Amino acid sequence: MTFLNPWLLFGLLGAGVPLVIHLLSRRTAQRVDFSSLEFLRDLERKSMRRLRVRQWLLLLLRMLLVAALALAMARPTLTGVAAGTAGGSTSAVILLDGSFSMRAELQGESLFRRAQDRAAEILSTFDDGDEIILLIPGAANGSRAEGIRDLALVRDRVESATPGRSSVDGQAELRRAVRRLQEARHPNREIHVLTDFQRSGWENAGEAAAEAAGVHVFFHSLTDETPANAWVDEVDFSGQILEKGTPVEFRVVVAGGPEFGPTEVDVEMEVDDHVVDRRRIDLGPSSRVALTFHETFAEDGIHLGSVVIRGAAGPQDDDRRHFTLRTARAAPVLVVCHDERARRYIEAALAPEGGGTGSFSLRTADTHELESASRARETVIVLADVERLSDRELAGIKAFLSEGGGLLVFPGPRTDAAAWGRSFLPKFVPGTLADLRVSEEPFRIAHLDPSHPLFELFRGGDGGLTDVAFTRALQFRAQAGSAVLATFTNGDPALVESSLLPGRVLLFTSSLDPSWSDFPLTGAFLPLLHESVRYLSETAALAAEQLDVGEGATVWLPAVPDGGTVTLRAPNDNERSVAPVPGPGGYALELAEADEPGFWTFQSQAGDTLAALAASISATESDLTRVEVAQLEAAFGDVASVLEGDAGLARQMREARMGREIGRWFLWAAAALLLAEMFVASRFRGPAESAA
Amino acid sequence: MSDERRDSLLNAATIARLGNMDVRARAVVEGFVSGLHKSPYKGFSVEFAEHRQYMPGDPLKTVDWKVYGKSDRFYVKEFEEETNLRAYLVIDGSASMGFSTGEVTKFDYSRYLSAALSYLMIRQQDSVGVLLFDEEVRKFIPPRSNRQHLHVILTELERAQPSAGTQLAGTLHRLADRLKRRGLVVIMSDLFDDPEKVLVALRHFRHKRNDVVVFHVLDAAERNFGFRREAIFHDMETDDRMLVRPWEIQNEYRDAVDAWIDRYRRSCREMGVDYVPMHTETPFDTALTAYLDKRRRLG
Repeated sequence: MTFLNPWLLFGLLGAGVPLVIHLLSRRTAQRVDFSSLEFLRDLERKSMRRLRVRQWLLLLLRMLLVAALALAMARPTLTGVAAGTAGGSTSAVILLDGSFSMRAELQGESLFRRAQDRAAEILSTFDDGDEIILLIPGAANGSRAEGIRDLALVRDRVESATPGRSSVDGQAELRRAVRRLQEARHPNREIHVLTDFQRSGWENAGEAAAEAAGVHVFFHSLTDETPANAWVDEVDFSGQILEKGTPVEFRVVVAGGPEFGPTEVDVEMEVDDHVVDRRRIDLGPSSRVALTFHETFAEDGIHLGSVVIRGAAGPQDDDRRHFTLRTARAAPVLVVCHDERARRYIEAALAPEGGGTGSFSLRTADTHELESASRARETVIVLADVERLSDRELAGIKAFLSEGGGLLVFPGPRTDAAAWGRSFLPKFVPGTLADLRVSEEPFRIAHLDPSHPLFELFRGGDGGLTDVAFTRALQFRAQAGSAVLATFTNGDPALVESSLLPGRVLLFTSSLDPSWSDFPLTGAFLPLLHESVRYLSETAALAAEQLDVGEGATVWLPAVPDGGTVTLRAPNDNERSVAPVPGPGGYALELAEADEPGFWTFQSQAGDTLAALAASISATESDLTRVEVAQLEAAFGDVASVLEGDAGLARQMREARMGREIGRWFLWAAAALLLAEMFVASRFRGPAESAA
Repeated sequence: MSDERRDSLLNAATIARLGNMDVRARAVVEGFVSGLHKSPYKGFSVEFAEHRQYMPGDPLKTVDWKVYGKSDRFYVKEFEEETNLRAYLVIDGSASMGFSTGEVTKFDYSRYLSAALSYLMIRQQDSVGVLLFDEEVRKFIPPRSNRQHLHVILTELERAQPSAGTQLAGTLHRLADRLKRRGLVVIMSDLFDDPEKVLVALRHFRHKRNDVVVFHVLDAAERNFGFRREAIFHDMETDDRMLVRPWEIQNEYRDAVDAWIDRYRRSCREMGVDYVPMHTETPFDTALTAYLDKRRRLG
């Protein structure tokens, strides 16, 4: 407990006054000679003891009354800040959450509007001597305040701000606010958090508590309710071969928040400005409904699509999830092969007519080209019968995979298994290599992962894959991070996949060399190689083409057409020029932040779409479930307070700053004691006292 | 004597201002007598009151020979035998009798009353004795009826002062044992002793066929406890002390004292003792009238 007026605690000495008066009155009581105390002694036995108790009670009440008044005037508080900061000027950060979820409405008013009003109320408690730092993370561009310190300007910026459509990381924002206060002018430091406490953004915010020493954090609760909302949670078409004429399955998940429905909603998929299909579903609270849509693309190129919920409550922007995909783009492949026969087999399978026609365009190179491998030039690299890789080559592969490129590896007679085991596998395919397995009796592929898209063509039968005869294979032992897609009859892995980096790696344990197997000569070789390269090419490209609002992306182009001028068109049709940045093997086009949901397209001067990015509201941002503010408060301990703000915000803030002021309790106690004193005194007040 | 003058002579405060005990006694009695419609001495005085005709059987010594010489008729005087009363004035001289909230202590009041009664009784040829006591008998004056004896009594009363504690019951018992002839015992005391023992002692007198009048002398404050300020009350007999806030216990105190007085009154009535509650502001005629009533009944 601390006191706002501690010097008034001297008033507690006044509690001794009634006692002193009592004792003095005993000492100064006059002596009266009386004939006999017989009756008084009798009365003492009967009544005076009771009266004496009353008298002491009265004395006690009077002492307590004085003490209660003294305590009330000293303004006690249950918890407090250091006495040196009490009542001083304040440096405060107003952290106003501008994320998408703040657009949600309750009783016709958005949470952001409530937060603005509350912020204005908070600002009214400060004066010009205070230092105010305004942060509005996640707000729409143009209204994100970054450390504005002028009080009048802060008021204007709060009022004019509009919420954005991205997410806010509460923990990061709190750390940022604390850092801001480390340079603050005043010792009394506060952070006012005005947010909806959406779980996805604020669940881990308590971890910032360790850095908040010396800062009082006010969590302003805007509501106890969770707004209703439904959203398109996921649109997935990964793992499929995207080409014209081939049906593509779109796996869609629609979700309802805890307060949503239950109700019927229509879910619609649009592709390239036409409605593909529409479904009616029952969507209840805290539920997820999976749907599938199918579309067959008639033309090659970039396709723009959306899945939309019609007629759902809650913010509208997350009722639509956008996606882009490309079909039949000739995938550039870099082949690094030290075995001439193997190279021919690969070329025959991927580019039978040579050059860059068809689905794949091949380029053959030596291993040193790997040092500068770039997804801007090739989307897939095929390594066949490579003896070993230098550190620089491994670094190049790592950079390539980091960009989302795919890597297909065939060992061979030249392969130094020990060197690969030491240098390649730990970085890209977790596992170990043992001695080469050599068998006079051919072994075959015995098991395939039927769910893997790579083997979709082989689902009806095995497509001759199990007829391939293998006599040599590296004995690979998979470790965590590697998935065995196919195994030989002896149990050894035949095909392994790994995706430690954004790009994927497929490792065959046998070779294309005829001394190891007859694989290149079988009917399974061509389709499996095609599927493998497409699989490795297509997945990496998609990952960069679907974004959450608020994220940025870099698109790599092998070349820039029309003299290098590229236009970036935003979903609202605003356009701006983008300067392509030359890089290894191509040019980078950068989208710093997709702050609007929809399609962001890079277009050539001629109007051709070079790349398209689909930005949607983050699914986690759409789930409006709240975190318990009390948990946050508990995480921060004594330095945090939750303010409801229903009434007397200034008082609540003052109490929270200094602790909870309980002076009024003592006033009530004093009043009660006074009444009790009057009652007890009236029961045995004498004529002398009455006259006095 | 005017009524005003007479009333003042019956007031203890006025009497206290007079010269000596003799003057005080005379003043009280004269003031008292002057207010009566007829002389209180009639019927039990040696002075002439009434003759009746001699009847055969009457003792010859009762014949008034002077009347016979003048009228040749025999008349007898009937009153000579009735004036021969022995009265004991028993005065409490304990320290508590020295208490006063006015001008006159209870002891002074008792002294003045005793003096007046002695004067009156001796004027009637009654024998009067005085016993002054506290924890023990301090002074005993045997009963006599002559004028010189009155002087002795008044001189003793003049000298007497209250002191020490009370042994009222014990003293009364000793006195009762000492009285060989029945008589009138007049007790003046505040009766601050165990009521049970006091009443037993009074019964002792009655058992020996004495007539008893109890003047229960109290100060007004002893009855109403009308103190107004907190004070340390000091017991004048035991030296005990007690801090008391009078207003807190006033009602209980009055109730207790009233019950105490009422107990004396009831018990005295039951045993045929005249109980006369008095306080120091009570005019003396109350006591004297009580005495005369008693005397008349004793006839």
